[in-house]
Amino acid sequence: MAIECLILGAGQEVGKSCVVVKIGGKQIMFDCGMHMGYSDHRAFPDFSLISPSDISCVVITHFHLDHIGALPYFTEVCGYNGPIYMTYPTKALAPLMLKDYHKIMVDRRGLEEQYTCDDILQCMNKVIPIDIKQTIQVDKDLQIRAYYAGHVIGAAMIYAQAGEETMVYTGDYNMTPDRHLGAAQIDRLQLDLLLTESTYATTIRDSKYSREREFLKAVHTCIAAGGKVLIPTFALGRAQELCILLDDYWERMNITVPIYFSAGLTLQANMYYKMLIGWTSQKIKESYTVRNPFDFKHVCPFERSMINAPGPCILFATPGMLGGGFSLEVFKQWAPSDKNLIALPGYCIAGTVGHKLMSGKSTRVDLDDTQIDVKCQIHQLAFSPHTDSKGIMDLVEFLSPKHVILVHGEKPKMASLKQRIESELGIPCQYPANHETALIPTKKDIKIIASKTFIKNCISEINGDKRIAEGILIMEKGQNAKFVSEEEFRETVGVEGNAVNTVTFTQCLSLPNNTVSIETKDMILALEKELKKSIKFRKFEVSEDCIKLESITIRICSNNISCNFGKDEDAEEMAMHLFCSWSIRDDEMARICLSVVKNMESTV
Amino acid sequence: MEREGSLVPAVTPTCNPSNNPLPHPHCPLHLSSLSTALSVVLNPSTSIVTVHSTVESLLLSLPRLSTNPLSLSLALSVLSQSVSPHPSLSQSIVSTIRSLINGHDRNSSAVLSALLSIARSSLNKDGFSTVDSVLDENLVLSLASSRVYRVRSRILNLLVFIVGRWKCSSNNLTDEVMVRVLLGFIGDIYPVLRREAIDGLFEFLTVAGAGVDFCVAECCLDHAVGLMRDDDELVRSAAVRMVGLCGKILVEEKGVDKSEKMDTIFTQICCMARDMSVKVRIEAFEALGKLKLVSDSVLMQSLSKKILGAKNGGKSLVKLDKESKPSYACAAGAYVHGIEDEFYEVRKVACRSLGIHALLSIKFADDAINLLMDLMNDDVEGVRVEALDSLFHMAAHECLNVHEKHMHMFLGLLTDMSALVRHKARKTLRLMKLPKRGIFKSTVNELIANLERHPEEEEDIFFALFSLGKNHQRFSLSLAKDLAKQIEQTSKVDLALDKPSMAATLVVCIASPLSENEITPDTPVVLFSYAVALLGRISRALQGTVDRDFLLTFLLYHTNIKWKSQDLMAEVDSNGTNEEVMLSIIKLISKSIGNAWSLIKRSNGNDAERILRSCSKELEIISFDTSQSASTTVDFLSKYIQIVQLISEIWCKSDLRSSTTFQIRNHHVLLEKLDSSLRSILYSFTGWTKEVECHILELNLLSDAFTLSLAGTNSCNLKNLCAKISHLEAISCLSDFTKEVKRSIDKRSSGIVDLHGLFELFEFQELDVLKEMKSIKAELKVAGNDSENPLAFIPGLPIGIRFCITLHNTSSTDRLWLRMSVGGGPPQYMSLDVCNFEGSEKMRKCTSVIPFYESPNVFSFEIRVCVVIECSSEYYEIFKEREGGPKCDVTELSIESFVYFSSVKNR
Repeated sequence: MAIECLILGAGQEVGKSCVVVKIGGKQIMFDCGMHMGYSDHRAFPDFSLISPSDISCVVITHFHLDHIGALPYFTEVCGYNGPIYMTYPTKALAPLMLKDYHKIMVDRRGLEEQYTCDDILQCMNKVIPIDIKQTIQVDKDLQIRAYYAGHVIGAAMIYAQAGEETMVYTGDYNMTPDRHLGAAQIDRLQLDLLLTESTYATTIRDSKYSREREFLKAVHTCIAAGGKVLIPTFALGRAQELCILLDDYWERMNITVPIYFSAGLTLQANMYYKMLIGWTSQKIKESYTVRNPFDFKHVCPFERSMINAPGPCILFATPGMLGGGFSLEVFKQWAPSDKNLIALPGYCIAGTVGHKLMSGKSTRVDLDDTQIDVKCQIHQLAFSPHTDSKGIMDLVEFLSPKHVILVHGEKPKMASLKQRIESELGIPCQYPANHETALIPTKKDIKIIASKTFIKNCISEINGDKRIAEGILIMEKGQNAKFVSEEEFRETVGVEGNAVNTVTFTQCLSLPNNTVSIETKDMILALEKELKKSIKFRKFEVSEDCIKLESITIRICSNNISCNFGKDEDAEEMAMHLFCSWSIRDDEMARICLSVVKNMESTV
Repeated sequence: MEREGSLVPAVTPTCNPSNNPLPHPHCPLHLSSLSTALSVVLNPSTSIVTVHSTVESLLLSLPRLSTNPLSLSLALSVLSQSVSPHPSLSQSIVSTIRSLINGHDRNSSAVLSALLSIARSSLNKDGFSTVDSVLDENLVLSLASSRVYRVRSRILNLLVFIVGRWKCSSNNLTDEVMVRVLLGFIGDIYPVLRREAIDGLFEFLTVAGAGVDFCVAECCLDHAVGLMRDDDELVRSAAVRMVGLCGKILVEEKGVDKSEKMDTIFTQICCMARDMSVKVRIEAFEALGKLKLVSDSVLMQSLSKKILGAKNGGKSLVKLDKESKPSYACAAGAYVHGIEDEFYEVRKVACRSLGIHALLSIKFADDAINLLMDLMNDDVEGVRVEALDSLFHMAAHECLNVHEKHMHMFLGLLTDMSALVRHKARKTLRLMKLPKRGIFKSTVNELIANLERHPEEEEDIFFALFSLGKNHQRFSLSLAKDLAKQIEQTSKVDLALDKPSMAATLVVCIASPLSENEITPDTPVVLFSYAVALLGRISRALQGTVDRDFLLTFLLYHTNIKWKSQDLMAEVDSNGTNEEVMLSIIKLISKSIGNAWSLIKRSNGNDAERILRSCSKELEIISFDTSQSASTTVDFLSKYIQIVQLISEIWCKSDLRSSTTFQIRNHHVLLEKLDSSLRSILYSFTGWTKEVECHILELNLLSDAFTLSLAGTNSCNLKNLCAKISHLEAISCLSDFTKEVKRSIDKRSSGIVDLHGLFELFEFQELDVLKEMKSIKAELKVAGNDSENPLAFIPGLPIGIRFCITLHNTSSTDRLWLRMSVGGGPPQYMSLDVCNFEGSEKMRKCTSVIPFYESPNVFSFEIRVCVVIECSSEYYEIFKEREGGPKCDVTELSIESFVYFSSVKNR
């Protein structure tokens, strides 16, 4: 049995997360995201590789567009009709994100729409909300459960179990808590597969406190000199996090410089945050009893006319990464002044202005029609809601799954992380590219029947304070495997006396092609010589084509008729074979012989 | 059989002849009878015999019940409950129910629960040891390997309970069996049992304490490490706790190199610091704090998420088996994760254990401070406090090495919302060593800001400032110089001493010279005089560190105002007996009177006055608590102080310094007062030493000299003077002063005396402890008279008053009088004949009726009564024209008391 993972997106890249996993015969789609760097067909996962009707359920981990952006397309255009699961906050906030994006892309940029606003609404109507640690029985065999993932509000890691096979898809997660969200939290589970994100596969971050200190210092210096600070950010998550940080700092340092939120979206989002207190960190939950921490004291809405108003200010503007929209508009105005500061929180996808700014000291940015001299300071904020490589390693170590698959990262970094997981934790790891399928072998439990006599023997031995029982396992084609006692075995086989000794074990080894030319006799002699090195003080009986030692017989046969029993199916037709047989009493010695023979194979 | 106060009437009907509520052992047992049995057993009024027979029949019926599990367990419950009120029954009950164990598994579990509740309920250890005694090795082993969960669980509960009281048990089970059984449970499939087993082992090791076998600890360690990967969080947390304890125990092992083992244990626990369960993480950091002897490299690794050093790289991380030791890389960043944990409980514990390790390794401390300082920004007060505590301990152990980057965050705490945090921050600051002058200055400024915002914390802030100044001599000196310069430039009007910043800076400036008790030549001394003004505030802040008087003396000394300590008590060694203490106080007082004298001579009347006033206050206080002999001295000294005060007043308030003419306007009143005080001191004491007598006489001479200057020459005065001088000549050789007086009298028999010169010559003599001196005094009492109970009188007629008079140290030659006066009228003197008194010279007593003649014509009145002595000596012979009264001046021997009268008509 195996788990099949078809990577539809975010394989060796960041963006359009989408994985279809076939587990226990059930297909689950984890996330259904879009790529923000593209506006053509590459933006969506290639749904032609799957058939929507085969999917048992879709699970969305959180509301970021690269995890949910293609969902309306999949449901309304591709026609998926099954259940869709997401947490309550995701269900609440996802439509906001989708509509906002739709507005920007279709209404403002005039791109061709892949789905309509109605599609979004209809799609969201099909969503079944779930809660953290709530187990959902999708159907008879399949159950899923969500765990807290940090990252953004409502983000979840998904545990899925179908039959005997188990797996966890992490989505995006954060192993260190921040100001408004807790750290990821999961039980110790027995897993066959862990599908984890690896955005920061090689980064090890220092303490968040120093990052906060640096950010505050940069902002404070800028506004003290009368500059303006632009923080392009997603409306949800980072905006709130940084706002809590700044609001606290403003309070403590008695600063009166205004903090603006650009869009209505963020204000709307803040309203949701106020209601979703239960999904935040311990700190927020506790201070909620006194005051809602999302009622920011120093924050006010921004008017477009304020862009060129004199005096320092802080502005949170959407979208993040300066990918377009209002934040880019403000950037055009503010970037030429060296007093100002652009603080870029987190990751920027290649192709965005943000990425250009982060990648180096570029003094000039070419936009569609204009060139902008960038003189302002750039502060890179390591405020990422993604876990660092230590966090990934910690999670993998904690869960100790049998296999790991990395997604949502950059290829070279993933390779190095894979290396670490395999060498340090000893867990096999893969990082398939998009449209590749990874096969994860899983153990299959086999039903074994134990005979009554065997059980009786076991019980009597247990009473004698032994926990080990001896027996013989019989596996026959078309029948259940069976544990029997020795006597029963004798009866079955129909021999008397010491039944075990009468059983003969055989193995056929094929020698490489180039040995065909060697004479059988020479082969035997060479073999004898080798064997004598390992097994001393024993008498070998050597004949023309075979060597005998006690019950062990090693026979050379050049045709494959005499030894098709136990032979490798792939063996070359013309190859020379060694046919070994021995009885159980010489088992130990036989194994030594076999290893000698095998070694010879490689040395010949 | 009698039942005292039958509180349980329900029992009575079912009772058989022996009052036993139970049916015959061979009859079936109903639940109702069991409940009746229970109430009988538990009722305190039930007689012992009834209880015994009830229990006995229950025990007899037990074998029958073994087929009925419900009844059996109820019966057992009744039995077990009966042990608590009747401990004597435990033996029989336990031994009987013990025999049931071999039967069905379910019975065993019921029996075991009964045994457990017996063991638990017995207040004395009887019940417990009885239970303990029936458990033998075979029984325990067979029960522990039972297939029934309930049996295993019960026996485990029982064992764990026994382990907790291992010391007081009879140890029917050997340590080895106990440990083996508990270790066996560690592999149980039920997490509850695994946890309980670990807790049992934990208890075992704790109870065994220092005497534990290291092999056992080693074994427990191995098993606990295995369980750290358990699926159940409670098992994991118990396992971590266990590992921590084992680490603590194994450190004590002698003759083995433990550092590697400790490193391994430390690393193993560090792995658990990243557990998903809060409980486990808390236990992990708790356990980390207990470990000692951990090598620096591992400790350092726990502070960094990046793997330190290349040699450990690439090793396998996971294997937590006993064979393969985890790589130190596992410890990576354990503390970093700990202090940025989501849960403040974890952060708190992490902080604490970080602090503990910081004390043990200096290298670690240098890095740990970064993490601790980060926590200054934590939003939970408890965490900040804990971090500050850790910093404080580090500072106290001198392993706190602060850098500039930390200070911004740290000083922010001085404006923290929480008073506790502010206090702890200052407490830490007190011990901190600041590396740079700039930091020092900003620290002082922050403290000043703190003072401005929270004036109520002044004491604590001053103390912090003081310690800061003390610890940074160089910085505070430069600050002092700046301040001095600033003061110089500011006009005196603008200089506001009560401004917090000024006060605070002054405190910093004086700290270092004060604690070193020396000043460098470039210390701006002018600051000390400003600091004097803040004496009260500063000394309050430095309570327990710097003595107020020392502070004052120090400040004054360096500001050239010199005088000695006023608080005399401070210098006294309070360890002696009451008497000794008293004497030394008295000595000190007389010494400070000497100081006052010298001030008077320099015409510093105010200061002298202050000293004298405090002396007399001091005397007042100790007079409540003195023995007879000392009280004489106290009396003497207080009288003496009065005299000195008067002299001071006369001398300093007059403009004698400017002119030689003694032009006093109303000084005659003072002179009169002085004269009478001198008289009083001369006549209220006997047993003078020569020196003291001379001194007093010289004072007399001084007083006379004053009088002479005022009133001019008067033959009487002069005669008196001469008499005194000749008396002085008779007892000792003349002092310069006396000689000068004599000379000026001789030279110009009339005219002006050179008072200045005289006064200069006058010398104060240390008043020795006046052992031989006795005070002459009298006590006067009128029995049964007070303002509420006046004596009756008939206006105009004499009144006989029954006085009870006691005289001390009077000689038969003394002329004593009873002075009685009404209002401001002339007094009536009645002579007291010492011969009429009974007793010796030391104390005489007499009760006699003395008439008061001139009763006024009023409804009621009061008279003032006082025993006085006539000052009859050669130099006080001023014969007064008076009828029937004393011929000379008198001085009072007793306190003036009142006698009240009420007219008979009034009644």
